[in-house]
Amino acid sequence: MGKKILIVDDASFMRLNLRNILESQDYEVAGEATNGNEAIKLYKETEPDLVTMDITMPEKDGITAMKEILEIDSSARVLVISAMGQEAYIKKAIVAGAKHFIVKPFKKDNVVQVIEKVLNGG
Amino acid sequence: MENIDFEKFKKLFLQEADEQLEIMEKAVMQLEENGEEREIIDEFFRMAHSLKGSAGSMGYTPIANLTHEMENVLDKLRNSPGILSDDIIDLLFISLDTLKHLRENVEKGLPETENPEIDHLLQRFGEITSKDSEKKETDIDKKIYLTSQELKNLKEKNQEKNVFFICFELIHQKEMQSMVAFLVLNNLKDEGEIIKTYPPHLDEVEGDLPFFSMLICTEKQTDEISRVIGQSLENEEFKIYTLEDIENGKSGEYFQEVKESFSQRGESRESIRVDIEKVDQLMKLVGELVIDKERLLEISKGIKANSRDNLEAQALLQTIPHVDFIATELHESVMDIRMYPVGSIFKRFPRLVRDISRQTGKDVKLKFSGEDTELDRTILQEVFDPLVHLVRNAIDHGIETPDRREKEGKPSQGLLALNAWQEENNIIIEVKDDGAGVDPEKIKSRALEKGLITAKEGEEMDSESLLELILEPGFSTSETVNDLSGRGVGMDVVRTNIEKLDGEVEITSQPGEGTSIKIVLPLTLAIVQALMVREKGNDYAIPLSAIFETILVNKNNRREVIKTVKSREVVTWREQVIPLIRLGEFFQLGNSHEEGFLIIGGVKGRMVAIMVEGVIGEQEIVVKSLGDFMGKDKLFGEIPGISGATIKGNGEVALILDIQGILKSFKKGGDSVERQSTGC
Repeated sequence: MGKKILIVDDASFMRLNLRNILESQDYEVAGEATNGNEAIKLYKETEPDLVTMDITMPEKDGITAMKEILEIDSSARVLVISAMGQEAYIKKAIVAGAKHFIVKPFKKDNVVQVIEKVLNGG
Repeated sequence: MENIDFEKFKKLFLQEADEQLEIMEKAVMQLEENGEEREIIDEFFRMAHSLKGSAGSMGYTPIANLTHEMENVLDKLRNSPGILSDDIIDLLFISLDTLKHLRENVEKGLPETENPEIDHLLQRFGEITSKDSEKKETDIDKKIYLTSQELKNLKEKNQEKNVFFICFELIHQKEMQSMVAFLVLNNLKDEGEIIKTYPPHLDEVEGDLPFFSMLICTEKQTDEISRVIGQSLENEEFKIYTLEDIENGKSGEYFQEVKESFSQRGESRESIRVDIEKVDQLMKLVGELVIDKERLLEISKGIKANSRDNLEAQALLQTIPHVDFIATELHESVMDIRMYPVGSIFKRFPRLVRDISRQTGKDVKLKFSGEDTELDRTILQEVFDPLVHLVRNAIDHGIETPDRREKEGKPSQGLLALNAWQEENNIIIEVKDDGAGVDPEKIKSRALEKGLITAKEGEEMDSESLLELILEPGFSTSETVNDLSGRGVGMDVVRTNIEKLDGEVEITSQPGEGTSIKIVLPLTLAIVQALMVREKGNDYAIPLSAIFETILVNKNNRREVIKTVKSREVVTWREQVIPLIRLGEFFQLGNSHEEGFLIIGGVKGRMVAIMVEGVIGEQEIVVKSLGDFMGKDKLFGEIPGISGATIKGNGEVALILDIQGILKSFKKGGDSVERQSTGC
């Protein structure tokens, strides 16, 4: 059965876009969070196999949320999603433990590839 | 910028520019000789690039413009192999000359003026680079550089671990390429120690990065490392090389082992630039310290005898040996700072040789050996001009034209070698050619003609002495006088300059086979180990480098040791018969004594035994020049046998004996030479 993926993004358009891609690949969407706090809460509730985490969000940004999730579950697999030109954030996220990254605007194939890689990797 | 700061920056800029220009010049020479070599082009490019950078930030626009164009051409050379032409080589040479000229102007503080020559150069560069208009990325020096030494260290330190060189190109991933590399690097950080990466500071790189490479030291095996990299790379190929691959040259174009000798760009070596004046000042102070140290040692001898019960005196006695040790170490360290490889002046010659060869229509190959031989920097600087003269002479008068060489059955290309090596306390620099050689008979007739020798003297002289005549003032055997050499002021100036440094010039030559001129220089001038001896109440210092043995002479062995041959006193030492000089008589200080010490000394195989009353002991002495007082038309006139003075531990002055000078005056006129009294 498909693995569970938690979508975290403050833009509903992005969440929808990702949901479509994931469901087309038989992944189960564990939930959708619109900010970092929600993400942590939902992570605890749903224990997903992977989190796609937007970086710039209101209330609590993606990097902070990711760090807190990793504190709860050090084996958590988080891939960060960020807009072009936000290299500095992505680097921060990678250093903080992000398994991979996706750049907005993204292509379906690319997203699928990265997710597969992260899920199959250690 | 503050004025003071600006001057400081300017000085640094000039220093660096000199180095960069030198390396660039060497690179053009090598390109001309060996054709396109990637390593050289890369080095050249880097130098042009850094010069451009610093010139640009200093506001020296013409230099920046010119180096920019050079960079373009070099870049083109890298990207389109096979386009190197004489035209480009010439253009690079001219550009370097122009750069030097511009550099001079900067140093002199001359304003930048319109320079049609530069415009013309820029235009020529433009023509070459625009021949095909393919645009290239600007900075594509993608290599990881490691010196052979670093590689060796790496291997030795990590025998238990694996060292991998990893590289990949991002072909499919077009966006945020640097992020991918960053991800790979970050994941690998957990697997081992990252030694080097290209680009070096990945966290500062944003956006495009089509290529990435790194060296990692890890306990993991290749497959594990592959897996980790694979997690971060989508559809991109990557390569992993082992240390062995690297050593076998399989590591591809992105890794390069650099030989330290090409240029010590020194990522591995840290260095700072220090004004030579500061080092000289330090040297002076150390010299004073050594004198004081010797005084302390002298004083401590007195204390030892007188005050066994005085605790403070005993404490002092314990401290002094340490001061002695430290002062000696300090001296050696400072000396070491002043030492400079001879190669630093050798590398200025390829260009010179090339130019002179062209002007004289000769084909000359220049070879070096012993570039690493080190010499006191001050001496080295003084040697450059004489060397230039010798090299000019060798090409101009020594090496024949290609036609003539072929007729004589020699290879048409002449060989000129600059060699350096150490022989005991001397550094020898040799200029050797395989040219026509010097004919002693020609020298003899020329010397007769010029009245340098009489016919009788000419008959008596052996070929060695005849060759030495070349070094006499006003001697020149060249039939043509041109603007290179042979103006009759040459070799004697060379000799004078070298003798000022306490050095010697030696010539050997075989007609038809070539000439060798050796400059023999003292390792250093300032502080030397010497044996202190006493004669008629005066102390003299003899440099230990010139002493082989001391022999006690008393009434028992006197007749055995000292013999008389043809009314001259000689000493048989290790089956050699060597002349005896009684120091007191030599300096006309008084009657001789029959007992004392024989100092067996010699320079370059010529030996002498010097009889003195007493030997005081070995001591470090600081050589003080008497150049202001001694010599022709000076206060004391010429005094053979004295090379300088030193201050003894007790503050008194002692003269330093010059064995070479003693040998010389001895050889010239035996006992008949006029000497002045030199008691002090």
